[in-house]
Amino acid sequence: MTTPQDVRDALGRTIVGQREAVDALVMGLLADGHVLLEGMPGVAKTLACRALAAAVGGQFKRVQFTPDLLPSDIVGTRIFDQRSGEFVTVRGPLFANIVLADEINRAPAKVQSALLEGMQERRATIGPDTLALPRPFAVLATMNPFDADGTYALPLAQLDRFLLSVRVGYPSRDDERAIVERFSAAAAEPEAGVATLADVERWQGEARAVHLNERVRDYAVDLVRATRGARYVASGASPRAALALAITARARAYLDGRTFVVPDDVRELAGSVLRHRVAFDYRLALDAGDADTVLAQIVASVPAP
Amino acid sequence: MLTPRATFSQALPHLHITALGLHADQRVVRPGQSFHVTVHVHVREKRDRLDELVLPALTNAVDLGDERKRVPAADGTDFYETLTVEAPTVGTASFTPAYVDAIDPATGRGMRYSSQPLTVRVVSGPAVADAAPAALTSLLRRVVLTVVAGIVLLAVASIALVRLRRPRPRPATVDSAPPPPPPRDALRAAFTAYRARGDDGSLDALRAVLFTRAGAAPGATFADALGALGSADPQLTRVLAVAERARFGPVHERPPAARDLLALLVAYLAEREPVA
Repeated sequence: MTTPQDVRDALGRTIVGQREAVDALVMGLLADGHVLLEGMPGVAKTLACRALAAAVGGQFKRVQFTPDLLPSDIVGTRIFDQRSGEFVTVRGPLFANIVLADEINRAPAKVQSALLEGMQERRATIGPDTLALPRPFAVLATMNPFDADGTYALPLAQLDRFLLSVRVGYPSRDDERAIVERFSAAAAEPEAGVATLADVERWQGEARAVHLNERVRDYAVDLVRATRGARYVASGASPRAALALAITARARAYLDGRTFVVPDDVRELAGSVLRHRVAFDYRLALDAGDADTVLAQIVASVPAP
Repeated sequence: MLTPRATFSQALPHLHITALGLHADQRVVRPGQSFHVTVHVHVREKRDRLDELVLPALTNAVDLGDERKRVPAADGTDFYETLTVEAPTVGTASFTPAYVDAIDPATGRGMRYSSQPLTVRVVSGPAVADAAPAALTSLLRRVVLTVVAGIVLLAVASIALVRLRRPRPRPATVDSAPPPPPPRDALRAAFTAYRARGDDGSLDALRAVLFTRAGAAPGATFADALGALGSADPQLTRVLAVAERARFGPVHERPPAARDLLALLVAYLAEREPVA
């Protein structure tokens, strides 16, 4: 029987040196959530998303977000069919199992809203029709932390829709050497058909059933609450963050083959779950501080059970 | 209370640590009632700060704030770190040992000086009943304590008169709490307590001892312990993993995991720490 570890291993064979990103993508899929990938161009963000879709046999669509993009370019539209004399609905790229929203912050707010509404509601409206999005459904969005000119920053409320936010960094020297050696002669081809969409839906159900001890649950809640009022924090994480932390911790435990969550699951995921949900104030910039360091200090201040 | 053990000596300060204690101002509290836990360290050196002091990790207790005080003394410096905490739920609020890593100037070796761990009972209902019988009991207790205190004062005064001319050496330990078992016996003591009680509190205490045994700092998690242990001790790794299952596993998995844990610990202790 295929397991999520098989998918992770398949991704690991295609994506060299991005273990955290690969784990986040698989955990996001298991937790039925969406993942935000932040990193420089050329660090395999897109390839990772394509590899995930190929591994689970899902339909993959990529949308390059640009300032002139329209909501209908994502959701779909209605066009007049001259032969039948009727309007027909043409579904946009949102109707796929894995949707890659590349450089999501380059499109204006109304396009972002159209996408985020689909992420939240799991359905899209085209003219008079409201259509359910396919299952499983996951949006994987990328953002480039540099080249901020001409971008539209996502509001905190919209970022909150993403279950996880992962920083995709540069690979190590050894990994980069391996990338050149393996892929300079032939393009990286993701492994297809490792699992099926039915497998994914079964895994999602089993991941939701992973046991979460009340002490570990309280630990997740305490971690989220500790972000509120902490130094350098202008706005702490919402209760949805606590929920996301619990859901993702279950997915992590399931991915590790466990039937229960341990405090380490929560602690290890806290950064990825909270990073995009916490707003920092001007003092952080004044002190030349780093948001991840502040988050790590907040996490360290809460004793694990 | 001091429990030194060898540790890494890189970049550690040279300190004569003559006292390191952990005290609570309450032994029994109600859920939500705040109380104070104080860490006291005495060093022979004149120091402005003691950044090396690592505070205890809290279980079933929420840290509401802390206050650090430095008191210069004739024979060194006293540091007091007072935590204001409250326990959210009924059971036991436990505090892992506070510790300081330093180089012992006498030997030149890096040592970890630890306090004893501390537990505070958290009971439902009023911790101090205001009913008449309780008030009477309290009054009687005060009378008895006053008499005992008078006798103790007389005895202390007599001893002080005898020793007046001798310089007063500072005792190595200043705690009134019973001394903790030495590290070698800590695991056996925690194991015995868990076997007898089998509750979450004793399992948490056992996990803390196991993490320390693996080489992780107090307040560590399973991953920290595995990271500190590496591949050095597969038997202990197995014990640690089963302890996590016994503590956090689903309800139906916990009893068999607890039995496995006890069996593994019996074998581990028999092999590593046979009783003479």
